[in-house]
Amino acid sequence: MGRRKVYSIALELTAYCNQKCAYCYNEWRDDGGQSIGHTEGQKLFGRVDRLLEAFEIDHVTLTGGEPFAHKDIFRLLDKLSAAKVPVQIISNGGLIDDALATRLKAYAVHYVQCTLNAPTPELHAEHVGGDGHFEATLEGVRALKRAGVNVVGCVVVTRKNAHLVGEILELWRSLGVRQIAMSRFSPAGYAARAAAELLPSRDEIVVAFEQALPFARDHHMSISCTMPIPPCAVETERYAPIKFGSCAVGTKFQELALGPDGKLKNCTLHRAAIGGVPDILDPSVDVAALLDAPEVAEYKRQLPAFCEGCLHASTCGGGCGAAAEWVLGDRNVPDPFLWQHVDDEFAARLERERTPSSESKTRRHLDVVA
Amino acid sequence: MSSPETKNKILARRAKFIAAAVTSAGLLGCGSKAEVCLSMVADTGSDGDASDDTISDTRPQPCLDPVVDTGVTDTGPSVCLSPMEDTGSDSSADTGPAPCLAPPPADGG
Repeated sequence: MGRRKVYSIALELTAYCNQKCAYCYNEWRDDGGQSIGHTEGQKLFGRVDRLLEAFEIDHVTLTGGEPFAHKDIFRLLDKLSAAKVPVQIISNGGLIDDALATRLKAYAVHYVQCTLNAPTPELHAEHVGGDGHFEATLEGVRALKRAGVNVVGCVVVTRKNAHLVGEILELWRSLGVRQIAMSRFSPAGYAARAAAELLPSRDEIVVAFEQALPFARDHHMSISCTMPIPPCAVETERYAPIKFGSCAVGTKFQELALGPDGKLKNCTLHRAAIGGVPDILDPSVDVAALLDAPEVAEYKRQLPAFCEGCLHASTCGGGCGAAAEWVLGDRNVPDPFLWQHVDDEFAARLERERTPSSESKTRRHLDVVA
Repeated sequence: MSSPETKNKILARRAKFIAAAVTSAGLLGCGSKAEVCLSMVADTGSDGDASDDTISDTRPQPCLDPVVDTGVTDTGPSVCLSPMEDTGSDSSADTGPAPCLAPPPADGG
């Protein structure tokens, strides 16, 4: 029997990252990955072998943490190259120098996606947790370009930078990067507690799209909004040629995620192990059969009550279900991006979090639903 | 910051989508199989809107990647087979399913 086809798998190589992003969806970001520990190359390769045995994979996305922080990334690239599995990489770019970029060029990865969240170092630092990262990312991008490696630029659009998207895109354009992932901030994992601080409103995201539109239309940059935008919340059709899509979990375009601990998840934002399997290295586990688990196969059938009867219900599904689970407790409510404008109680909760307490200057966070 | 105007706008747009789904379901002759028909209609993209708005189709896409050009075109009747299938759309704003975190490989150059 042939292997089952899978569109994409995100391989989270390591829990470690040199940045401390406020918007990070990794649930282990809180302790810097210590709860996960170092993912040994042997285990990583064993898990990848299990995936390659089970699935015919269209491509993989190497991510983390910071994937270039894993010492065995090039051995993994060798393995994937031998298996003829195309690769793309999500990185903050901060560890990339000319030598690494030149070595990477030989692997013909589709691209390396790097993120800039501001046109200036200060605001970028506010997003990624420290000084020096802005310049490091710029240097990494330039090194990749010098080596001839394709670069995709990413902007995580938040409450803090939505009004600056045009300037950020101009910066990407000046770097010679033409393909952009506008990643609308989606509160999940560590960042679930930062929903009040970072979740853009509908009006803020509209400002971002308005600013992005000329870059797509007039400068012919390829811009994709890479988190779901429910069509009831924003008239996405007004922003063509910016590309929009909906959550792919449970569809043939799903991007599964292999955590650094060996869990196979519905996507990188989800926390639950498919089938309750803590590590796919377990030889008793039928990895291919995990695709039949209800949390995958039935995912699209679980609709938020708000979405019942909607023309887009089966495709949109209420937006990012992972964010709904992390912030609101379950998927019976839509994406927090939408829900902040519909549910008065949730809106008030966010507003309370945004109001500095007179008794404490400590930043308060939303309680993450356990 | 939420506002009553934004909430009303969203609820009004949702109401239009629901009305469009019901209308389209009727046009398709789905009769009492409303749930199935709504799924079918949703997957066909933007043709069923009863409102003045053009409805964009937000088909599945991986969250981390920019939308990949998958080469998938509208497969028409197959939308009836499964709501999980990508069926394509005429909407220029929609390029089909892709991972959420990064763009599709074919678009990566």
